[in-house]
Amino acid sequence: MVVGATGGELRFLDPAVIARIGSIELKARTIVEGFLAGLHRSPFKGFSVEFAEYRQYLLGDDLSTIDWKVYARSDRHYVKKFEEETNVDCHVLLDVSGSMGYGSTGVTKAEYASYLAAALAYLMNRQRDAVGFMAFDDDIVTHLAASARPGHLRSVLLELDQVKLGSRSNVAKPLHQLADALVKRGIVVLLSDLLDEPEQVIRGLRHLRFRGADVVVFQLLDHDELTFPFERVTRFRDLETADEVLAAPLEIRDHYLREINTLVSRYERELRLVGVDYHLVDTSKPLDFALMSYLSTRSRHQ
Amino acid sequence: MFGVSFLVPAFLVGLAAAAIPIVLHLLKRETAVRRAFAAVFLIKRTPVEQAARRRLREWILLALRVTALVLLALAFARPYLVDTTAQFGGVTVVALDRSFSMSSAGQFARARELAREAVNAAPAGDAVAVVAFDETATVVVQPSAGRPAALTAIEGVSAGAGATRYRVGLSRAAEVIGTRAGRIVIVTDLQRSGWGAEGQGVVPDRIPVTAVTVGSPAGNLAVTAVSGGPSGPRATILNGGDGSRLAQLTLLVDGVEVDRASVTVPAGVSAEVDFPVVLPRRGEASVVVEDDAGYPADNARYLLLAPPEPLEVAVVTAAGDAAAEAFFLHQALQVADAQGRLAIEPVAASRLAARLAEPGAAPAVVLVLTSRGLDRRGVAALDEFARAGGGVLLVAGPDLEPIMLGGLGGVGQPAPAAGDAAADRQLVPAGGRHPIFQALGERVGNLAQVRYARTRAIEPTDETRVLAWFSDGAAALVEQDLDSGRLLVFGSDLDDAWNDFPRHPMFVPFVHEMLRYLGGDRRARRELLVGDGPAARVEETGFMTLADGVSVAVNVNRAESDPTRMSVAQFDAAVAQARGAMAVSTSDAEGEQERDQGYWRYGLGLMALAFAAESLLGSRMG
Repeated sequence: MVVGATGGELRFLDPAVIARIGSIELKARTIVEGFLAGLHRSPFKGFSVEFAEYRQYLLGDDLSTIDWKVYARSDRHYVKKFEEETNVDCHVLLDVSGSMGYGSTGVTKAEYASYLAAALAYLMNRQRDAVGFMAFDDDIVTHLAASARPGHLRSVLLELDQVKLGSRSNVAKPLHQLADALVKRGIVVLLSDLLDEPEQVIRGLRHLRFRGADVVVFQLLDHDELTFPFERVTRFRDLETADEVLAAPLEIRDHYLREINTLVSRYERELRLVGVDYHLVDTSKPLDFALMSYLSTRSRHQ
Repeated sequence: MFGVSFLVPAFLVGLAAAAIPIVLHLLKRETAVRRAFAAVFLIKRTPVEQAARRRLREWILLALRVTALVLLALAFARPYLVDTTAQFGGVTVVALDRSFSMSSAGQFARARELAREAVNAAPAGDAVAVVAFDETATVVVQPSAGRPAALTAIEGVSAGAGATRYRVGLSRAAEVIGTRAGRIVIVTDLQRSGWGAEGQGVVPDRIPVTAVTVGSPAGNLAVTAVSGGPSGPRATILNGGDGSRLAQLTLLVDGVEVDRASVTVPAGVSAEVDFPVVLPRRGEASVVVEDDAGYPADNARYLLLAPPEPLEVAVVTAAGDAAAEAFFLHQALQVADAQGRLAIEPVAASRLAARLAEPGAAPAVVLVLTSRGLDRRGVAALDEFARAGGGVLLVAGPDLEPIMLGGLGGVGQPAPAAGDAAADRQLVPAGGRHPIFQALGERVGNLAQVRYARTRAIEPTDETRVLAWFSDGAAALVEQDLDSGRLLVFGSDLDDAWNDFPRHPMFVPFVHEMLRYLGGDRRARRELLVGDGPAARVEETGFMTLADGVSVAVNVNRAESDPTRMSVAQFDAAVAQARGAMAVSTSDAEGEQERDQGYWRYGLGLMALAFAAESLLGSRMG
């Protein structure tokens, strides 16, 4: 849902338009700025490093935190107490398995996911959140730990720009690995088509929830995968396994749609039960819906 | 070792049709578009075939189609198995004479011995076949590399009651050899009568024929004929030995000895013996001669005693009232009718077609006295009747229009021409040997007493035979064969209109003999020879009842009792005359072999199964 957005600003959220913008950093900025400009009245402004209170110096406190001006006036050592410098650790998990290479509208699911990941990273960084990034297929391909350092965003965007499609997907494995590595509660954003074994995926996400993370799942599916618009007899080749299936789409369409709806419904139902924000994203649609979904989760985390 | 050969190899061209489904398969196989897709595992869950399984089914389908077409072509090519050993090494065929001239004491045992020697002497690597022959030939053992089968089969052959026919045996042996290399060894007694006039050259030049001679008996007495006359039965005895012999004869009636007789028969001639016995009207009579040295089969001759069946004669007049319309002829026929020799049936000319169309009751002879009332259907029916074996007598008197006879199936050439001639003529037989005049005996001369005032001029053709002439040179009695039947045309009247024939004593017997001659062949035969038979070949002598209930006497062919032998050189000369091309015979042999095996039926059956499986699989694939 887009709140108060105008048509002119929305076009920058169209994945096909985004794809024509040069660098990934520029893409991310365009998306986020366009998204924020479209918000009528954002409830998410004001996150920054803010002063909280003074506290008497205790042994062991960092000397750099002593407010020397207060010491000059009162001859007592006080330290300044701030809100957390980084509000929350945000981990972006990007599925780069072979199945993410499908795209019928000029933008593959992997490209769409990378734009969305970049935009989220940019938005997180803008909100002073620490951004972590992980790309995976059946194993972890790239992993950048969460950080709010000024140059970290560039590193994340660089990785996103260089990411390549892998082989088979195994969504559960990085989820468990990240859950084991989490030392601090935060937000985990999973970008994947989730064309995997639902049982394993849900177990991995449950593991993350058990470790206290707020989890946002974007299941990215191409428009063809959601509507199965084919008509001619087609020999379908699996992007990951290269298996081939000869089928008459007109005859199997109803059955296929039942299958995909069953899969989506199961994710939606079971992930809601474990407290995961699940969002189905049609990659032919603009990215604002995904960003809005993230911010909604982020606001709950405060 | 067996190989496959084909009776009609030209049909193997049809194997090219097997390429059609292959080409179609190759053309159609890529019609489905290819598309990379992510959610293939969901498609797999739909009830459709996977590509690999479908591809396998496609290949099976293709194989079934190709197989069906290949089987169809092979079935039409008529495959059969041939002994490759024989094909490459040649064939030796031992032809064993099993006629009754080989049946004297010890003679056939010697023949078997010679046949076995011929088998054992066959070149190594040759296949050996055995053919037994008399008037027919039987392949006892097909060409085989093994000798035991041939040796065993020879022991199973025995002399029968048939007559020798060398051409039949050699022809069958040559058929067995076919197109392969081979030779024929014929084991026979070299009887001269075995080279009959019938048959054509059937032994290819490339096949050598070797005659192995079996000795003949020292003498043979044979009963060559038995007839029943008014004064008693008469038997003819042939002495085939080198010296005169006393023949002891026994007459049996219904299996009971009724008389004995003896006669001394000089060497190489026949003698007749009369038995002073009155035979019953019905029964089975036989004459047996005592002869232990000769051939058993010709020691007895059988005679079936039965009164003659009346000859059915349809007399065609204008109104069907022969008594009024043809008084004299009717009276002449009534004499024989009263004696049971003729069965007279008056028929109106207008009803002739319907009468002849009645099933199972056709007369033996149709006597046509008029053309009045005889329409085109009647003429056509008469023509059909004659060609089917009936006898027709056309009396070209004043009531017969020549133009009607011209339509007698195109055989009206002997029809009388228009115009009468008033003259005083006599009838002169063209020869006394014709059965009609022969039956009249010495009385035939009395025919010259008849004066013919008016006659029809008949134009003889190449297909007609003039049996009698008028004294002015015109044909008086003309005969023409019509397929199985016979046509006689008498060139004058038979009812006292144009001549005074009915007033002469010869009138009645002449009319009777013409009718009897015309109907003679249709009467049931009372004697058959071994090898004859209307339905099945008759194998044994004696009395038998045929399938249609007719009883007959079965005798041996008297020519086989002829003791005259040939030398080997004469036999070879006769074989040389019998040589000739036998392409048809060869194909007949292969055809018979193929028919015996009948593999084409299996081919068609398998083809049907392949098509059924293809249909089933195809319908499941959609």
